[in-house]
Amino acid sequence: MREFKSYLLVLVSLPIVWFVATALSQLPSSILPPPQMVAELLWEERTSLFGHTVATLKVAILGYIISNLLAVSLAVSFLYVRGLEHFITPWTVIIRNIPYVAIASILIVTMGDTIGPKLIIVVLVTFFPLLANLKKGLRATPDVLLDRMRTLNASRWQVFLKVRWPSALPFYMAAHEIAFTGSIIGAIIAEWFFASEGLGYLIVQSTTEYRADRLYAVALIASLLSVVFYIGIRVADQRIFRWKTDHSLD
Amino acid sequence: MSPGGAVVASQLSKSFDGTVEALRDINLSIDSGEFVALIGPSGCGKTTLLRIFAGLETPTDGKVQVFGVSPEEACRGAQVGVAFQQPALVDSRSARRNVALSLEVTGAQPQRSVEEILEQFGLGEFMDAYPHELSGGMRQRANIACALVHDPSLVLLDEPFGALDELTRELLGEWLSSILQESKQTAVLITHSVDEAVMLADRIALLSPRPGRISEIINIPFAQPRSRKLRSEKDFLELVAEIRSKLYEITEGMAK
Repeated sequence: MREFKSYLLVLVSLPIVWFVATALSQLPSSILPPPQMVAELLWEERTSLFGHTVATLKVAILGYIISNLLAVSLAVSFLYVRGLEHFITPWTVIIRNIPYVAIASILIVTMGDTIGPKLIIVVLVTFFPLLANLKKGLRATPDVLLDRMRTLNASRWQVFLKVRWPSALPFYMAAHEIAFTGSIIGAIIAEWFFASEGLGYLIVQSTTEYRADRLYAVALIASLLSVVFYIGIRVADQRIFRWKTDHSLD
Repeated sequence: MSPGGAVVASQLSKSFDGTVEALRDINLSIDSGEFVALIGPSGCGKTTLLRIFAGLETPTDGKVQVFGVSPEEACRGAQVGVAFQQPALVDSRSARRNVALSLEVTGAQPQRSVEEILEQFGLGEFMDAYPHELSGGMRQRANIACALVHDPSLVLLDEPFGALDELTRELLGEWLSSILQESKQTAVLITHSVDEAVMLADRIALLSPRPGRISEIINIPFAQPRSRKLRSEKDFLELVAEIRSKLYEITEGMAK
């Protein structure tokens, strides 16, 4: 648990650094609001902020689930359907490199302010690291293990479940570390384009109203969510791979 | 050649990509309950031959039968157990669960339980240890336990002690021999060590390389079970020296 103590340190030192920065820079509070001002706003607008946060979370988590379902099923299909990977890969390269801005605009024009475009943006942001790691992980099974399973006359399903998946799992967990926090960024980007709720929407609204204090509050919430997501993945990681931490005899 | 043998290979040839000739005209008949060692210089196709017996490679020419059926068919009946040079263990499974994997897959009902076999293999205290927590020798023992737990009639061992120090190797060899003697399983062992081959095997097949052929089959006259004392006896040392000089001949002939 030592690795999480440093996050506590950030939590404590951030307001101090912030406070010193505002005091030293003498910037007006419309540009750099002091921490107590933002704290006050967080408290006063807590109901509305909470609602927007939940809206963003909904998009992020739902999008992330879809992204995982797609990535897992595609990576597994690559393993068993000959030639599929060669056929699909150019498409993933192309789609991945279209600017999100362009895709978002097109989606909003065609689908309007529904949850659809937002979910698609979240999928686009998180899907590729998941797919790449899963692909690599599913092929990381040592040949001796595959040979052993063959001489035991194992079915495809047994080979997958007992040998391939366990060796892919560390790669999959590593992908979550990158991709899960990306789902929040994806959701906020999507809401920033076109939405009537969520943290991204709040950013647009606060910008037009010149409310620096609320912008800072949103930034704080977004980074807090990311940290919580990240720590969640790390905790899950440590639980799943608890067996790794024991002592070796060598 | 008796058709009722455990392993019968006749006129067996194998080439890869149609160009690299790994094995040529292999004729070998292994009786049920026999222990045969394959020795020969690197690149003589020992591993390829073992993989053919295990149904992991198909011969280009010739025929191989394991208990009267094809190797694949024998695998289907869970009659084959293979221990590879690299331990075939799942990192995230304890020793116990790694050994149990062979039973989960084959559905075999073994005479000895997983716990019994691990006890017998000297891993009783380390049943719940993960592969990375075991020493090299323990991992190899767990690896061999995985190959034996489902009571296969044929045990194929590809240099399972290759990476170990000499003493551990000798001890594991003695121990393996006693287990196989007791269970009457047929065994084929690949090794680089002439001492080990003479100590353990009933017969030694000497392979010469490029392409891999059986250059000689040597009967080992010492009665089983063999004691540790045999290692320092004159007959033993002479036989080892004789086989070693044959190996030198093969290897030097290859260099010309």
